[in-house]
Amino acid sequence: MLVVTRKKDEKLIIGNEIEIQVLRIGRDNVRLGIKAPAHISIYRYEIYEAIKNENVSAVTSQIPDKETLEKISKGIKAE
Amino acid sequence: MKAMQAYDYRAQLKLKSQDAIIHFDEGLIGFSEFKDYVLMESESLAPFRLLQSLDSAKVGFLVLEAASVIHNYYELVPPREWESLGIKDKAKPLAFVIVVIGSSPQASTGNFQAPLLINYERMIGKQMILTDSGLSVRQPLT
Repeated sequence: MLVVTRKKDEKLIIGNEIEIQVLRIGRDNVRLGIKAPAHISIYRYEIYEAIKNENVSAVTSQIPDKETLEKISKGIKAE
Repeated sequence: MKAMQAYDYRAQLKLKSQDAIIHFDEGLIGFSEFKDYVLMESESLAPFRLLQSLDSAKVGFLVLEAASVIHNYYELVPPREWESLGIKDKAKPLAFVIVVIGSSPQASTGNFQAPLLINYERMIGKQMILTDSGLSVRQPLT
């Protein structure tokens, strides 16, 4: 892992297009600003992890028989 | 052609010639190495469908059209996300949620926080995360 020290308002650039700026330094948090092209997705890591875990459990879960799926689909009430 | 060899090992579906390949440029979250999928339909699965990877028979997701549960779901997706897939015609948006079937209908959930957006004309898709939406990764279907 690359480790760099930055002061408030200083930036990093990743590739040619992604800029990260330190906007504010608090006691136990920092506020970052990120500039990136629209096709680059930026998420808080823990949210990304939660989605990843859910995808993994979807792939490993069983696909039930027709009857069970019908029972579930009948119970779906559109909001 | 690799598409013809693919199948799903759970639902025992055979690929049909009309099943077109949908390309996910970034893959799905946590599955970045699997980028090409088919959306398989079957009488035994309806109204669910199976988004099956063409690269691995073990990677397939049971999915459901998001709007069949939350009818205004498309409005919850920010316009820039649709635009990133080249979808400008708001009349034909398409979003699926990945479903996990539990031990009972009540325990079956959909990941409404991270839908799969699909551009059917260009056959491309992406999984995105709706932050600040109040929607859950395990939202009950019933």
